[in-house]
Amino acid sequence: MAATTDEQTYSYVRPSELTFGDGRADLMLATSGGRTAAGPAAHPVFFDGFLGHPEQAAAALLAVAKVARTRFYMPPGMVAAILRAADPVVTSNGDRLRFESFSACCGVYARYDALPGSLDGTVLDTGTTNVDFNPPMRDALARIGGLEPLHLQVGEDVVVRTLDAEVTEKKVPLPERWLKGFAEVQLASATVAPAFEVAASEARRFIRSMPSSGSRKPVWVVPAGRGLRITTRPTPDAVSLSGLDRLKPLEPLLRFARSLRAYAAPHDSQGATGVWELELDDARLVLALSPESSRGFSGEGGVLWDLADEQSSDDADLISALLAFEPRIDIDRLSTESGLSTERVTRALGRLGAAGRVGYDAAEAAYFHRELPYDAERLATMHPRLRDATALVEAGAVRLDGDAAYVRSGDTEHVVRRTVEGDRCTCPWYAKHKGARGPCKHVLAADLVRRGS
Amino acid sequence: MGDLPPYTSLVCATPATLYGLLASGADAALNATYEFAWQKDHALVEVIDQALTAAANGTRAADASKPRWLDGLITRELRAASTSYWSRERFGRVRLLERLGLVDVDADDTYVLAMVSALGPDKPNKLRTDPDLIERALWRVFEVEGGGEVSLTNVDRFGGDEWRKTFLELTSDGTLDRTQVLTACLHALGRDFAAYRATWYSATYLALEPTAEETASAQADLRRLLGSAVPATVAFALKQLTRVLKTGLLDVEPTLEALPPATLVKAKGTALAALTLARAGRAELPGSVGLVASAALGHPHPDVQRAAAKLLADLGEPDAVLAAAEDLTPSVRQELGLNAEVTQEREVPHDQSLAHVAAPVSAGDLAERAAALLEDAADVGELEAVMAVLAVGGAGSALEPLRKRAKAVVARGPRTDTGDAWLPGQVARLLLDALGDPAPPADPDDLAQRFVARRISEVRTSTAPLLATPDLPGGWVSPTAFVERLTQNPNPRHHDLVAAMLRLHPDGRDHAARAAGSLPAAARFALDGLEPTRRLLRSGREGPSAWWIAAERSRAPYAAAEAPQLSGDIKTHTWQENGRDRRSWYARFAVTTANTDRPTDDQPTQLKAQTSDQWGGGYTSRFLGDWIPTLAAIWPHDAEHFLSLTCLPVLESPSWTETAHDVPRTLDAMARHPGRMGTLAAATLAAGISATQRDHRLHAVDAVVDLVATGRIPAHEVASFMARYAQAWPATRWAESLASVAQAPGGAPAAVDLLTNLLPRLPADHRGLNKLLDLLRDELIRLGRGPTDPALTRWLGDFSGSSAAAKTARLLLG
Repeated sequence: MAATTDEQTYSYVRPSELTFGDGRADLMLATSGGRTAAGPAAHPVFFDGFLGHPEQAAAALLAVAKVARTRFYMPPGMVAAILRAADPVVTSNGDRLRFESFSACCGVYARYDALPGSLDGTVLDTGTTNVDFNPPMRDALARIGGLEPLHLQVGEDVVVRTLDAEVTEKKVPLPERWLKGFAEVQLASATVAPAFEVAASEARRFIRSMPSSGSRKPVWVVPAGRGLRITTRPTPDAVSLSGLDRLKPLEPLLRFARSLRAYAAPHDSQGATGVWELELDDARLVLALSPESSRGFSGEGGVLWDLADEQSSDDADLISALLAFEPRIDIDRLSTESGLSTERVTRALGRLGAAGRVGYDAAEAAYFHRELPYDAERLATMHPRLRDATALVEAGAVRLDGDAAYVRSGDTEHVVRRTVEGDRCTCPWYAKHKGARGPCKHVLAADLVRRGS
Repeated sequence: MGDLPPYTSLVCATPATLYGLLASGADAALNATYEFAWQKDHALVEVIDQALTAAANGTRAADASKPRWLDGLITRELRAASTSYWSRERFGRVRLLERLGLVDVDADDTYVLAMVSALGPDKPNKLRTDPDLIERALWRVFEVEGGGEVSLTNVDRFGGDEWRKTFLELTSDGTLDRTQVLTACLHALGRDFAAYRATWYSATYLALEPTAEETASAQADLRRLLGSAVPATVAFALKQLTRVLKTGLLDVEPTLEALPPATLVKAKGTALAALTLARAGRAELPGSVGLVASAALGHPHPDVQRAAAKLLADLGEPDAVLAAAEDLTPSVRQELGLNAEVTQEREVPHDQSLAHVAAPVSAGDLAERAAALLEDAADVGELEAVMAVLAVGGAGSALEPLRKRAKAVVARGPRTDTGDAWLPGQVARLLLDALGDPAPPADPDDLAQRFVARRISEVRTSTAPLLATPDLPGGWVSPTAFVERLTQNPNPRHHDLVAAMLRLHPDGRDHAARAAGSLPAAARFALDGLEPTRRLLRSGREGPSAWWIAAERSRAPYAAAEAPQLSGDIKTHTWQENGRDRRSWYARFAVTTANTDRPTDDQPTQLKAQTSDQWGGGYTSRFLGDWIPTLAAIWPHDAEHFLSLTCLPVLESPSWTETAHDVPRTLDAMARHPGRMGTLAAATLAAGISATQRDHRLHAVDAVVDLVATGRIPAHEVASFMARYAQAWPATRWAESLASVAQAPGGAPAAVDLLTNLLPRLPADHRGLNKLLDLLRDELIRLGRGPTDPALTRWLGDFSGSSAAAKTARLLLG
């Protein structure tokens, strides 16, 4: 199957810039597209003030930008590829700023949360946008020391600027699987539970002991005394980690770390999503790692159940109207306001997550509102398995017989069985992944027919 | 690229004329048909070269406007040159067209990287004669990192340092401003470039041999590099700042402010250098020096912690050490008189994790579980469970959805690394047989694989239950189940009975034998060990000889004389690097087996006489992949059997950097094996914890916890192999592996035992010895013990002098 790629055009009033003077550093992050609380905006303006712990903040911003430019897993034949990275996405949730990026290999998600204690200034609006991270600005960020205050502007007055500047355009090809993965990583993150927390000194020891390249096969990180150790044995209480080098983006921040927390998705001996969170001064740097380094988040398919549910589509429309870029989405509140059960609200949020319209914060154990500044319609339709399942249903290829369903696909009739552990199928895809990457098209097709009957 | 005419020979030609020449020559290239798009581009490039040559020779054509294909072609040429380093002069053509005004190209990152990749030879002259290129692109090489094949580091690595030499030449003749180049190198190091690609800039800076004054004037830039994420850059900056310090020109206060991050760099030497530099400010700025030392206490290495604690003591700030006491290693805590945390030694050893018994396959889940084996047949328990249900028949219709896939798997076999022997292919054959659609049988080369393939192929020859399906953890068949199954199956499948006897658990045999009715004589012998009278006459043997061999094997592992033998040599590799002779050591192994020269398919424990050389040189020998757990399950009594087939990649893993997928599989299978562990097992474990790849060592560490911590393999046997190959297997890897062993539940005593047995066999000047001594000391403190082994204490007592190892040895002895 050929991969599809769309070109994302970033349009900035001028490039982002970091200047030094008057004993302080001034960082102006140019914005492109996205949404504010009032609706779509070409150049949103979110914040004007000081960002606390400037050296730490600069290192965190660079780490986020670096993840976007990194391919942690290099498929055969990709060695010569030069990365044209997507610009990071910033969300203003009113009391905090979140900077997100997604690796070119689609397996590592990074987010820097500048928490309320680190923002000293005016939050001008809420919403989500792209911010320009050009090389000169990154170079300047690397020169920020611990002494000069860091003044940050996210967006600026466009009317004034456009009088004397040309719009800077930048085109970046964004493959479908990248867009899908960026959205779906939130759903994978939403399945995690806290696993362990270690002190900064142990975090330093552990992460610095990681090799610069790592196996694709998952290993498991388990607490051992005050520290952590790695075992190759699948262990339910551990956090799965594939590609040991994928924790390296945390390294530049280790000297600012207060602790390292890890969260694990439900145990899977083949590997599971792990979320790693470096607790900083009034901030967090979060990495979400896919179950295997060669396996991006885009193929996980956990969202397909929700997407196949027509009811959740209507619910998502209703819930999305109630969201207001809150830093922590209160499911009970939404349930009350929408009149939907908390379970339906949760499913609706899953569906919104697949469309890039909410993110998940493991530390808060809650979704947060943000709208990825990409084509939401496109994000919602990029699920080939669901498309194929719908085609099977439309072709009348599904026959129900009690707890079993017979799904004819080509010249083979696969058997889908309902069991207490979930639906099972005889197809090679299910045989390989055992449902860990969401349902196969046959299971989905059977489910669609059952719902319709 | 052929020789293009020089710019000076074309400068008089107008763009319109040149366009005319291009247009006139392009028709044929544009109208031809090509299999690949690049062929058309190649033809158009030829057209350009011919047109430029013609123009230089005075040929003229009617004026024309720019050909429509030209801009697209140049964009593609630049893009290709910027990502691949194979056409070294591609950029020259683009630049010539640009200078002639034929194309208008942005000097973006692609352009800069294309220049780095494909400016071609004689760079200094090309740049001298093209000053505009220096302004447009050359300075930008300090801003554009590149990646993949194209970066200054990579291009110089494979191109004889041409770019570095170019900068040296152009700065020495004044074409480039020397100070600007030095500064640009430092600024490039301050960018977030990858460590590999950053090295070019520090090496070029050093190659320019900056004077003390030049270095002193760059100290602000150097200080910024102390916070770099690239350890080598921090080390470089520290070295330069230390040089400035010696000239008396260092601005100490800002340097101390910038130093804390450098004390946390992973490399011990860099962190210690940072502390040494900090000492310079002890008199004037003790507070700032204290902050640097306090930061250094967070470094995981005990030497850095010691140095930081000493500096704080010298400053009269012992409270900072107390505050950081929890982060210090036990040995440092002890030396500083702080309470060391003692972990109680676990009385109950860690249990070996044996392979579990697979849940029985039902009619409902047969197709799903069989389908899973078609994708990955490494789970031998699942394979046995599926075989067991297929043996009793009647499953054909349930398997119908797998028919197409099974056929595809059989067809794929010969194209896999294991060829016709591919294990999913054997499963597929079994399923197709059950579907009444048999495929041609496989004929693996290896004896043990052939045995398994034959056993699978005879599953459907009867509907009686299989005998060899494990019903106990570790892949054993309980004697009771064996007897029950034989009672239901008085005419057993030949290979299945052999397999069952090889898997017969030692416990409960007498009881089962007494309860059994009529059994094949070999099976009864396997149970009770009583030689039947008739067997004394060879011709009077009841049943095939393979049954009797299996029955004997079921009662005892290989005897010493028939066990596989391991031999190994340490070899030397010498080479020249930077004009100096370099040498490294590696170990090579041979496994010699000599049971028989005429093995047969039904006697899998009979090892064909062979050495590793006959396999094609050890590491590069056969790939076994998911066969390994199945081979390990053939004979649970003796791990040496399967290790004789699989251990070489592990034994040679300390000498190789490439991934050998069989290494972790072998270590995992060995760790779960319930049988006798002999020479091969101890050597495999020793090599595993010495492997080049961290991933492989992690598997070996888990195997040590399973096998040494439980006493399945004596620590002294593993230590003996480590010592024998110590010249070739780095002690630093042992230190890391054994530290991981010590962290595992119940692992600390095993790590101490291994070190206790290993250290006295190593020379006092062994490279990396102090890391092992430090580890032993930390673990003994944690366990609340001291060195009590007489050989170890004697060896520790023999140390003299002031080496780090000698000091640690004295501290160990108290």
